[in-house]
Amino acid sequence: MRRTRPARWLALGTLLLATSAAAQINGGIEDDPGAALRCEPDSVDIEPVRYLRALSLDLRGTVPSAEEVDRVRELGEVPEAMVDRWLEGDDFAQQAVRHHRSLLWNNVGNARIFNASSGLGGNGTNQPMWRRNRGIMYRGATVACFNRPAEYDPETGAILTTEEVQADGRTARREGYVDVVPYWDPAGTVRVCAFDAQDVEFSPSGTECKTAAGNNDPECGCGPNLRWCNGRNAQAATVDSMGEALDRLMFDIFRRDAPYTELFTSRKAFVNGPLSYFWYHQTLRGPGLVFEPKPVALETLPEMQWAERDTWVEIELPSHHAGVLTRPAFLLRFQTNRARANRFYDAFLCQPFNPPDGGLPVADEESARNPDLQLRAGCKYCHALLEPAASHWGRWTEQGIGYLDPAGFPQTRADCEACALRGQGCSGECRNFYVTQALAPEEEQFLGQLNAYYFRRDDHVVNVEQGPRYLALTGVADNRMPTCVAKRTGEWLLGRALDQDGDEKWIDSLARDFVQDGYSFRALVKRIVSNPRYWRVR
Amino acid sequence: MNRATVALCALLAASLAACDPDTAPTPTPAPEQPEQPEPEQPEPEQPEQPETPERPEAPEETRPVPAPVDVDTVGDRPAELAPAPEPWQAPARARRRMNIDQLDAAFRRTSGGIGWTETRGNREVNLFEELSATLGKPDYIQITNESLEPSALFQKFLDDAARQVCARMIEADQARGATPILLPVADEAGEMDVDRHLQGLLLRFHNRDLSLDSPDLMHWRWLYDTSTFVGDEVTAWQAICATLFTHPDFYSY
Repeated sequence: MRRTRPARWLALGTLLLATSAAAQINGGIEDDPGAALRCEPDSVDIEPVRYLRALSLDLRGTVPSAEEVDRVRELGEVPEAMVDRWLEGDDFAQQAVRHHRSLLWNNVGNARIFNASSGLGGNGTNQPMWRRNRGIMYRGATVACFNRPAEYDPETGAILTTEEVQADGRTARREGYVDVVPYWDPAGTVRVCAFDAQDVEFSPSGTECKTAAGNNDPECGCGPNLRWCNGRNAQAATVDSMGEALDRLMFDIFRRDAPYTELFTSRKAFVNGPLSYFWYHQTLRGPGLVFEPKPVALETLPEMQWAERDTWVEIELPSHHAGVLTRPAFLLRFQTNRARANRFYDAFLCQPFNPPDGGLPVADEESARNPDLQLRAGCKYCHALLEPAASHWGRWTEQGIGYLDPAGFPQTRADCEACALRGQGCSGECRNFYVTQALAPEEEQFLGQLNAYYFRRDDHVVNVEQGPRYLALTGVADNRMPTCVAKRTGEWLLGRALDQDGDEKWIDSLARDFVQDGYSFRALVKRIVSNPRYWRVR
Repeated sequence: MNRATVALCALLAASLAACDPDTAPTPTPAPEQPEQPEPEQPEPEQPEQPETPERPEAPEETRPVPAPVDVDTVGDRPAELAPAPEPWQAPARARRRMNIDQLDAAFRRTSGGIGWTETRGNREVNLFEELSATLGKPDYIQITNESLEPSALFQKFLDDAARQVCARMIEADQARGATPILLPVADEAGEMDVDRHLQGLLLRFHNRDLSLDSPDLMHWRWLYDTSTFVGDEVTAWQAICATLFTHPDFYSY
């Protein structure tokens, strides 16, 4: 890549001939017809070897090797083939993923997929594992079992206990332990208190033990292989795998140089042992997070051992998925539909929802009571756009990752409408996903409707039905997304906001080329690092 | 070429020439104007005013006298009433600090595979990874923006890393013998070309391609010479190494 420096005579000729287009190609004096009238600033072009260093750091995340430096010194320039080779490598794909992690804020390490009552303490060897929060329910006091094998009634099979008065005067009934093969270590066994190790699917009182209700039934335990409980950082491994699955999807797209739009349309997914195990066994004991109805079809999901953490298998997700926008890592990181839309608008459309300078107008009392945020004074400044945008995720559960299929969750459900209007007890589905309460007369028309249709305009209903993919493709069609991707990528590589003279035209030209290149992120990056803006450092 | 183009060319030529201090025309003082006799102004007749109490007149010597200000020149240069336009700068990349992942990788590649680590029990802990949050790497939960400021804290840890890695590089060089990185190899005559070795180190650490007579190289030669006053040659090369790692040309690009 040979670099050219604009000479003074060139500036003069450029002005006289008014060949602004040519100036834009050369890049040195573009967008500044008055350049020839001013003194030439100090040169900030960098040497070819320093240019190589910057390229290597941005495209591969490390400095160039001695051989690469020697090659550039020999040629006096960075050969284009070298840049192409770097862009085709895994290291570049990793850098692209790293950049997109900053757009998607990919970290769900603080999400809790297990109820606090599901946590197993103890080391499982000389201290039997037990659930501290369930101690009172099982034993009448917050104590673990004895460190001796459990005994069972030979006739009824009930766990035998020994009563023991505690220091606080309470009487505890304590049992022994059993050896269990835990799901996180199929090759070993751990000692688990017998009450906690119960593995029945249904308790004698009819509780389905794998659900959250199982936490409150003394005849439910952690299930076969302790699968409903959190032991040995299983929780952390699962949520970390969700984040890694998102990274792997992006890596796959950038590594193949697939169209950038695949980020928002791809149905490809990667699962490992913890994720497979989670989908099969652990979606019902969440601490309030909603993992059901499952957004994956179990028949397409391989049943893997939890311990296969480093084994990743590619699967195809159902058609309602929309690339990164419907992955657990995104949905759990942004748990409300408004937060999801806000992140998308900011990161990929460059349209953050910010109040105007000087603040929002103060609403009068009447308009402040309007339950429709699209109309409420002040709120409407953002929500007139944010509400319809958020409705693209209307079929994805908030505070969770479940998918509300239109067949099971139509726009209006008679049972939910009935319970809302007649005061009957509403089912969990109605309470969680349908409008069952009206606090203002304007809301009554939506009773019995799916939450996504609450104050939804007729022309926005399509947003709910088409989902986040529709939102992304709309941004592509009206060119907001290509322009924003060009801007965000330019800001990443130039290390500054693109708000200087001439930047806007440059972004427009990059966006046009990005579209013509078939949304190739690799080509976009190459155009940016080949531009004189990148060679100059200040 | 029409008249307007000729005028424009003349203007451009003048402005380009003005960039060169040697050729820029020096301002000349304005030619003195011959004194002109003041024309006599007819005094208009004043209408009679109603009587008002007279204010006491200030004595002659205390009245303010307007002092003429020469606006034509300030010093020996012409005064400009409008500020000069900001010089246009070509759009450029912002020089920035490496992120922590880049820094870790750069240390390892530059040092021949030695990273900033610490042994704890049986495992080697990567200190760049461990301190990444402190050094500006976002976790995207509490912090969502990557801080790339070369802060005092960053400089402190960079210094720690440099000193540890350089000490290990010296050990590795002494163990390796034939192909050291930091320590120079004597030529057949037993002489060590310090300048040439410094040139090679600058290329390796900073990717700066300097000639042997470059003034930039002389700074490093000076550092080497002064270091040998207070320590042996090995210490001097270790000091050079630590300085190369902590120099902005290493950690920024």
